[in-house]
Amino acid sequence: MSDKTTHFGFQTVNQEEKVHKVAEVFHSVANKYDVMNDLMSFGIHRLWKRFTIEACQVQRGQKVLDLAGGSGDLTARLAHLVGSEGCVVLSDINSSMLSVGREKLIDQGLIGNIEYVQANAEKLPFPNSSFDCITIAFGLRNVTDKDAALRAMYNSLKPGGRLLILEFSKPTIPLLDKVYEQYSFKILPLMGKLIADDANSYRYLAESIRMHPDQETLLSMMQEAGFEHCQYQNMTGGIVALHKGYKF
Amino acid sequence: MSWPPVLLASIEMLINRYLGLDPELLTKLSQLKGKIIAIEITDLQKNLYFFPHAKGMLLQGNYSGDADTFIHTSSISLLQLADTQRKQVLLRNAQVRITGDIALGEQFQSILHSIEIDWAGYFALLSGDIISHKLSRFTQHLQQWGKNNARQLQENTAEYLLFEKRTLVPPQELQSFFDNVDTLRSDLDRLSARVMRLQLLTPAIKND
Repeated sequence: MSDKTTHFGFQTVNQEEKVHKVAEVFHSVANKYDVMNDLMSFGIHRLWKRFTIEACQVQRGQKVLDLAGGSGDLTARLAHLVGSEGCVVLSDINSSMLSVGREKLIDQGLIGNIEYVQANAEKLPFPNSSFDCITIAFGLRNVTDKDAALRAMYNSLKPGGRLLILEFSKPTIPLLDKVYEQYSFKILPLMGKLIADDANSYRYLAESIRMHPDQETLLSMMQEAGFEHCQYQNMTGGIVALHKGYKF
Repeated sequence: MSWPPVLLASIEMLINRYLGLDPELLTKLSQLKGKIIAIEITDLQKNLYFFPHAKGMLLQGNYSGDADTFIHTSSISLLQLADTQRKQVLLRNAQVRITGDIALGEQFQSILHSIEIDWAGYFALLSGDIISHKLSRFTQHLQQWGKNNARQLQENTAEYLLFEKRTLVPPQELQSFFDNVDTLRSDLDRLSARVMRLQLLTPAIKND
């Protein structure tokens, strides 16, 4: 077992242990994931995802990787944009999430231009320069070695390709920060308990958000991984930020 | 400047709700699956991109690739397109212009145009005929009451502005003013014709 440690929420754990613990969380929440997302964000996560898709600049015929794509919200829209000549690869490390996503997309009649791959974001099983665009929405904070994942994404992108990271971030409005903290640590676990009968998983969610790098730190991590023209845009007062970078 | 995501999401949701209630229209739309239709709103300098699919439409404010057809129109004309009688007039007067795949553009426009849902019919499926009929009557009364009140308000406002505040000019006075302007214009034309005639005659008089 590796001696390297990392964060699992507020706990410091062995890297391998984090992988198992995160997997447990997502196996547990997979079936209620969509309902909980709607409840926890009051439906605003749909607007954040829509904004991300608009920023992708995806065209017909392109190949897109939706990493940690879970329940397939981004894939569903991306599949329409790339059309029958293009392809979207929905990838997640967690088999339960991938299975929920696949069922949902098939129910929506989305077949033919979507592939499903269970993969670790740190060790992507794709040849170099495979994708025109990579998206990762609310997934990066669960990755154990974020730097390795960013490097793997860089390698998988074609020259001219872009990476979009949609993730919880640091609120930029002082009062909002206080309200958000109360909401995250008091109300969120309670909602998790009442709806999904799983307070611990949602406590982890709040803690993992707090431990995730802030806007500027993530921006510099992207630059270190080789991305150029990196920028970010805060949404809902910085609760969420969309980072974008290019491979040239 | 891009469209606010909440606006695009609302429009998309409304259109898809309509389409979900009209299977025939949805079938027509699904024939356009894979095509990209852009509406360029000229006065706002913004585009809307529609991606039809088997279960409705996906709406985007940005698309960096090429659309199959472009419908160029102004925001006012776009709203007026919903009016069947105005549609032909707008097309004839080139207030709506289609470039690219013209047939696709017209087909899509006709689908947008056909979004008319029989709400009472669909509600009857859920609630039964009696409740649906009563609700329909109530809605009609409500619409009539709204129309009457709107007309009354319009008349009262016009009366106040015309006769009490005298901010506006009554149509009769305006017509009389226009008639006077027309008469003045005719007089001026006649006078200028006489002056020109005199100018032509002046060298002849001088020579004499």
